[in-house]
Formats: sequence, C-alpha cells, structure tokens
Amino acid sequence: MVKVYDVMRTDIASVPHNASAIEAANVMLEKSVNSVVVKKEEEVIGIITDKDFVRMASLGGNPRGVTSHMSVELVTIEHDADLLDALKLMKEKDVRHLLVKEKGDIVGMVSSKDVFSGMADSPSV
Amino acid sequence: MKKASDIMVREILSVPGDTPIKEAAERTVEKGVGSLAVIDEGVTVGIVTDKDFVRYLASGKEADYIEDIMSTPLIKVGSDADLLETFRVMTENKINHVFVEEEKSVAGLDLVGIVGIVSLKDVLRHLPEYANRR
Repeated sequence: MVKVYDVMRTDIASVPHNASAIEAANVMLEKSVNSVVVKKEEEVIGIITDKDFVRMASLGGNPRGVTSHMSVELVTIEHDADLLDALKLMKEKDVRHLLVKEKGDIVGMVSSKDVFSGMADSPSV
Repeated sequence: MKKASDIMVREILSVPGDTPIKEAAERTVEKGVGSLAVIDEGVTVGIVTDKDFVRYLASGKEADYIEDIMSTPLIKVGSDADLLETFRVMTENKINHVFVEEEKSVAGLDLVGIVGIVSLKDVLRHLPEYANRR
C-alpha cells in the first residue's frame, strides 16, 4: 500500500513571516506550487494557498503582510499514513494540502494532486 | 475507459468579460470552485483559475475587469476523448482545467459548443480504476 512518504514533497516552498503576500505569490508562481508555508525562524506558523489570493481579490485586493492572509490551522499527517487516510483527512478538514510529520518534525507536504497521482500509479491502493 | 464527458462538470461558473475582478472573485469563493469561464455574447472566450488571481495580485498591475486577467486561448478536448487523452492535453499544456466541447445540430446547423469542464483532480481521481484492471 502506498504511504504518504512515497508521494510527499520534501522541498516545501516557504517565506519568512515578515514577507509580504506578494512575495508569497511570486514564490508560488516561480515554483509552480499552490501553497507556501510561512516560517518564523525554523518553525512553520502558517500556510498560504492560491485560494487565499482569490479571497484577497474578493475583498478588493490590497495584499498586506503574508501573516494577515495565511491560515494558522495546520493540518498534519504522519509520514507513514496510508494515502486513503490522507484523502479522508483532507475531506474532513476541507483542505487540499497536508503537512507531513515524522517524530514531531515537519518533513514534507502532500497535496490532493500528489495523493491522486500516487493512487493512479499504484495498482494496489 | 471513461470519457471526458463522463467525468466533466456540466455547470460551469460563467461571467461576462466586463465583470469587475472583485465580483468575479466573490462568486468563485462563494461557489467553492477553482475556475470560472469568461463569456462574451454567449461564447466562452477565456478561463480564470485561482492561479490567475495569484498572478494578478503578484503583478500589482491595474486591472478592473475579469477579461483583463483571464487566460486564453481556450484549451479543449472533444467529449469522446478518453481520460488518458484528456490527461495528456492537460500535462502538455501545463494546465489543471480543460473545457469539453461537443458538436450539436441546432436547427440544421452543426455547431460546436462547450458542454463542460474537467479538472486534473477529476482525471486523477478516476485513473486508479484502470490501474486496478490492468
């Protein structure tokens, strides 16, 4: 059975907590990702996704500091969880990205796309 | 194998090109969708995805209407394209949404119209069914 660590990405795009939302947007575009984590020193304190930018536009634009627009609720999953559990958690929490933990540390990230791709590649999910 | 028309979403959120960006974004959030079609006189002329909003805000450029930030040209597949073909068109064009078009005969005229939209997520969700059958 395919595990989260099989499909997770370990190079997580990030910006420092004092970055602007525009800097986060540029990182998103440069790296072709849908989400960027926000770090204070080495700790992940939030996540900002492309959906947050749609919300920003719906409020008339005006991007401010990244911490004003990020989500602070971080949804995490253990690195050795099954893909199906990752999918269930995403559905339950209504998110498209999960941070992956191993021994309490964040070691990667999985998106719903990663999970579906992993399932597509595997005949035995 | 399933076809694009089997997994497409028929109800596409559509707005006219002269819709203010703010209003279009509000409707996108409200409906919880990841893309909207831009129409001009009943014809779909472009698509706006979450990424287009990111690009717009990152650019800092002045824009008022949704047509100023939409992506063109339209990338389409026929309604009888199978999932692998649909997947190929998406990866080749590096896009996450593709329109589905179908030929219809209206009052003796053969017209080609957009009948739905398929997201990459929808395609990936259905591909495991075939992996299981291999």
